[in-house]
Amino acid sequence: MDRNFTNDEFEELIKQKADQYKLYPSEKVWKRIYSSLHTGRRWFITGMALLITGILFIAGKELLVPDKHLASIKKPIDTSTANPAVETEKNSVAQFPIAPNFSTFNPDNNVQKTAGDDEKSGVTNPIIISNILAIDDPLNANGTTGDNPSTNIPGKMNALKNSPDNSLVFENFPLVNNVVVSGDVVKPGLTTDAELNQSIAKEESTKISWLQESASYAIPKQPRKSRFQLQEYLSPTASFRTLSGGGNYDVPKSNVQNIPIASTHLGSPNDYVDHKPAAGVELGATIAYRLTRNIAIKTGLQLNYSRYTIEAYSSYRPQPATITLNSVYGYSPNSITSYTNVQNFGGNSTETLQNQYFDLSAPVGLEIKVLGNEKLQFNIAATIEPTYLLNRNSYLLATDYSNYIKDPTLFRRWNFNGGIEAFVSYKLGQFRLQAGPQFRYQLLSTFVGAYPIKENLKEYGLKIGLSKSIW
Amino acid sequence: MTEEAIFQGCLKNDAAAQRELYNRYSPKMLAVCYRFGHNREDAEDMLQEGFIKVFSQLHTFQNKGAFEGWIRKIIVHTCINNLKKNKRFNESVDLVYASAIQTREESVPSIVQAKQIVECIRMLPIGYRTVLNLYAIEGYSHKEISEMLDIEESTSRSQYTRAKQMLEDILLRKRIIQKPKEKTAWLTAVR
Repeated sequence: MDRNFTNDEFEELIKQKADQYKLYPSEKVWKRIYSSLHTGRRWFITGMALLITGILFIAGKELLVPDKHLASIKKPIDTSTANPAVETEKNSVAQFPIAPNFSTFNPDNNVQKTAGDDEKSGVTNPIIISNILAIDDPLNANGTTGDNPSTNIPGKMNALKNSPDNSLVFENFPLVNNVVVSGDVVKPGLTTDAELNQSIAKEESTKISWLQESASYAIPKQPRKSRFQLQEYLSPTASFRTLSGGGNYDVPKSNVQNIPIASTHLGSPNDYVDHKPAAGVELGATIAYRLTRNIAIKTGLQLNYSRYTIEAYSSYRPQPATITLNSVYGYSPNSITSYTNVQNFGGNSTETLQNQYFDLSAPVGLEIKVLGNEKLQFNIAATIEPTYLLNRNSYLLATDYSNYIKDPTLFRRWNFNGGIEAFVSYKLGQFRLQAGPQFRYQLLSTFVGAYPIKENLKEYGLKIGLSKSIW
Repeated sequence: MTEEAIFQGCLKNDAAAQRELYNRYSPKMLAVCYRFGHNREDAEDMLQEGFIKVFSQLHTFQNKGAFEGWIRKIIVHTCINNLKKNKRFNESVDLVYASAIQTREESVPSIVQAKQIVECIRMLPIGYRTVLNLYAIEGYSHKEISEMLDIEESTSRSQYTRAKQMLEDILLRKRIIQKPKEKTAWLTAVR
């Protein structure tokens, strides 16, 4: 700028007036600048989102996919495909009507015979008959089916189950109902059908006697009861706030009393604002670890959305609004002045403001079973929740209560919430359903300490949850 | 908060200090951007880009001049780069076009307002406006302007002369200024 500037009056006027001119940028300009300068916040949000997605994915998998152990037990056996050799031999050999001979198994003489019946039987209390190998011996002794895979009974018979009507049912054992016997099985010397039948009946009687004597009833191993429990929940809430500080009545806590902009209104700011509760929601997942039969500790992640409305007024012309800040060291208070169209006491038209808060919290707490049995329980729980505020675009009240402005720098990022709840839980299969009231209170003010007015959010909700034992 | 405290806070990437710096200088700087820009949105975009540069290059400020002057320089350069990117200042301008600029006769202000002057400057074609802004208001020399805009120094001079003539004409038509009858005070506000 090394020109030999020969200012004439015209140039002087232009420069002077142009320098006097000021324009106030919209709030979104600062937001964009802020977000590009502080990228760490975006990483945090992305990380948390990934974490929550991961937890929900695992939780969904655990809660929705059926237990593998149960699935394998209940899986129906397709006898036709279980052993193709059976099908091929069915056509070439005579079928041996073995079922009636097993009637001695059943005290009520009610034997389940076919694979189809097995599937329909709704088997409970499975009793495994071990050492079933011996059933094959009589046949092998006759030197008939030793090489035939279809008659290799020990390989096929895995389990024998007791049907609800006390009859015995073979499961996963395709040959028990269709034992094939080749023509060579017929013993030499037995000429008539009657003799043949008698001989077979005798052999079967021997088999059954052996089964009755040798079968050992193995009690199925009870799966170890898991101490971990995964819970997902949703809680519709009614959220509101309490305001404190700010006014002259509270001057000992605030050093705003000696400056011209100090509030002229006495009393709590609650008396000067028209605010109402609004609906919010909580969504989260926790993992509980059962310490004893009645006490469990739990932790997890929770996304909270809370809001409330404020009845205010808008004006056509922006008004200056000043927030006088408390000085940390007790001297030279600072202030923030901004222009706003939103006023508290009057304006050109009414306007309903919505202050919304999105935050992530990690509840850590204790759950106690007060009374109940395995099926139905009454529990109480309490948590403390370190919380991270995700958005900071809510309205703040000016120090003199006259206007509302937005200033993201005055919001506290990290906070603590406390929560208490009572709920009834009911066991439904593998899951446990729960429902009950809850209360959540923000322990520190929404705003930083420099802002003279304190706001504590509170939420009343109905928590509905679904939990399942894991690991 | 003192300027020094703001400066130190901004160096530590403190959001409150950054906000304070922004609050303090953004109105003036937006006016600068507005004079260069096509419209208000353009101006806000330039302001945003400029302030991001200010915060990221703050460590290069060496207390040699006024802090505001340093910020202003960054903002002006951001505006020029933006115009160059959009090739707006290369728009052809001639006097026929200039004389055809419509002015609103209906409003006769009683005092000369800064806003009126700025709005009249914004009525100039972009090439004229840019040179006028840089020379008359920001105080750059024609040599510096020629380097900034990649034009000849003589072009800068001629553009400025025409711009001044055109602005004067607009201001007279709008009766924001009055040509003096005598040689003294040929620019006075209309009362």
